[in-house]
Amino acid sequence: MAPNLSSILTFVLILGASLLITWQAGRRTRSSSEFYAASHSVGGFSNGLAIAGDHLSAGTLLGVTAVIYTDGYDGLIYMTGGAVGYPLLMCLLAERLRNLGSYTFVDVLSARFRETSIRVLAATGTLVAAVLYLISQMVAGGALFEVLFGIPYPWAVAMVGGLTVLYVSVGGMLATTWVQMTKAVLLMFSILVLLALLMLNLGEGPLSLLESAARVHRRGEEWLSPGQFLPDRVSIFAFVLTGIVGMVGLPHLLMRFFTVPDARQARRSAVFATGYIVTFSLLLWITGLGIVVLLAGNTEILDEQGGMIGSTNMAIMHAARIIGGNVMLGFMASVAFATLLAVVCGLVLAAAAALAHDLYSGVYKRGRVDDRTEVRASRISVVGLGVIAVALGIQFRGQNVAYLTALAFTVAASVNTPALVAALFWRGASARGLILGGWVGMVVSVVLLALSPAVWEGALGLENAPFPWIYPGLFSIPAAALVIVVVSLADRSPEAMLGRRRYDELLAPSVLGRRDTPVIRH
Amino acid sequence: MNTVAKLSRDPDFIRLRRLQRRYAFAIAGSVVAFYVSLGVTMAYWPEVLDIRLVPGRWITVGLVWNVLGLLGWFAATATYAALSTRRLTPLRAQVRERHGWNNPDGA
Repeated sequence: MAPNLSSILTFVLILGASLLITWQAGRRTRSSSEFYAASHSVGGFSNGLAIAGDHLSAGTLLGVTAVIYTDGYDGLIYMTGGAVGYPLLMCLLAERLRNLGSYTFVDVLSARFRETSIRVLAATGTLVAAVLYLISQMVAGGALFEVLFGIPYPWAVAMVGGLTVLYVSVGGMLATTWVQMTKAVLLMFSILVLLALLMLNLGEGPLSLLESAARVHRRGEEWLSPGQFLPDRVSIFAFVLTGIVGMVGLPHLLMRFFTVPDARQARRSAVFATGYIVTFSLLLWITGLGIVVLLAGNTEILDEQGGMIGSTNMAIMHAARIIGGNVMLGFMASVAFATLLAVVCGLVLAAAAALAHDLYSGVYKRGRVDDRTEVRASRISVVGLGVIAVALGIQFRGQNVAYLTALAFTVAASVNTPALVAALFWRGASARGLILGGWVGMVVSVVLLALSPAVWEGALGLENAPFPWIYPGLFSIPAAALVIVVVSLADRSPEAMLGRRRYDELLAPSVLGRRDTPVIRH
Repeated sequence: MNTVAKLSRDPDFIRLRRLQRRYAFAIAGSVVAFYVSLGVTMAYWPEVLDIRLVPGRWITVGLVWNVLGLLGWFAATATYAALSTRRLTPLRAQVRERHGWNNPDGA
């Protein structure tokens, strides 16, 4: 795909609009409350849209359509598994998070346990999960810019990184929220347009697309059976477990529940977000079918080696160009850019909060830091994170973005979720148990990820990966949970007793809301 | 006796906690059971997913299971929100008022 004027114009239009948003938001972002939580002033509907914007990543748009194109059924299970965490997030965490925390979920843990090691662990879990998620967005962004502008992949990744650093460091949570809301609306609009054009172009409705896709899919009669995405039982159970537990621990999603004024708005956020995501997922599945039919037997999308130009992650972009020409390609590419930009903004903000609020202010300065210094530290963190994301994005080139997103879920599921659930629901949990269990979850998940085929062979270029499965969640999550339970049960220290008393004290605010916090209503 | 201790003995607060737990765990448990059963079927009896519910059409058990799952996630989330707002919010308000817990943050 050669760069073209309409692609560039559409892109520049969206870029200009998002820069305007950021500039406006930047003028209203001074304090840490404004930077991290948009002054807790976002309404339920707006926050729901922003959560959907945060969730529907480039991994969803590019990766899922790629998986549907190559493996059929697996694209569907990926979407079902990707959203299963929302009811759990709603039922178990949304209200409690809002009632107990300020900016990050680490605040919630710290409300019960005063040990600084808890902050260090949870902040590290946040950083690792956010960076892994960032890699997937960078890979998608690099591939996209390469296609759109024809510039080399490393420069494309650097461009994505530079722009996102600008947005987040200037606009904070308010700009992130606006960008995510705009992106969610754009994404839904674009998929509706693409689907309509696909159905018009192919002359088929959703049900007949299903039949046509079955006729031409590369997996033949097997296309609606589990395929290579989940090739064995261990991978299936790891994927199922990680899907259930992982989202509950994704720091950038949890952070969104601190932007609303009260628990009722937190519940409304979750309902709107789930409805939006489910609707989009169903539309994306049907669009994926159309893409399978449209691209079947098309040789102009293949490179000299017979693979798809720009990898299968670009299936939706090829389809957009074929049915709508360069204008549609430019529009879809710009939407995909807005998509990954919104997610990267949320991720970078969560990671910066972990560095500046949880580690620098909470641990290093022990809370003795003024608001201005903390916001400055956050902005510096954003720049550092941008550099790391660019370097890793270049290293992981060509990996399936949907898979990379699943890796972030694994770390979140192995570190953040067990600690958060134990702290909120188990009186017997002790800080020592959480710290040891969390580090076990972290080490097991990261080491097994490094030894897995995707990293060992795919990213590092070595042979015969020592860990044969693709997802380590089946091992790392139970290991973390087991250590938390065993160590907590054995812990009879005075600190453990204090932690249990704090549980009783926090029960009322977790159910009724905080007693002494002024309520902000808009 | 401080407010927290008084609250822990208030029958309405105890009922509020019990109902909140019941709603949360019943709904979350149903979601987990539905999804895990899909995973178990994928792992041990994948051929079940291929069964066509409409002869000659590709409307398979696997397809319907996943689509119902997605719709179910929304239904579960909306159900919890409705239960919490309609049944628990009045109870929360009563408890808050009785104990001078004036901030309606946790509505």
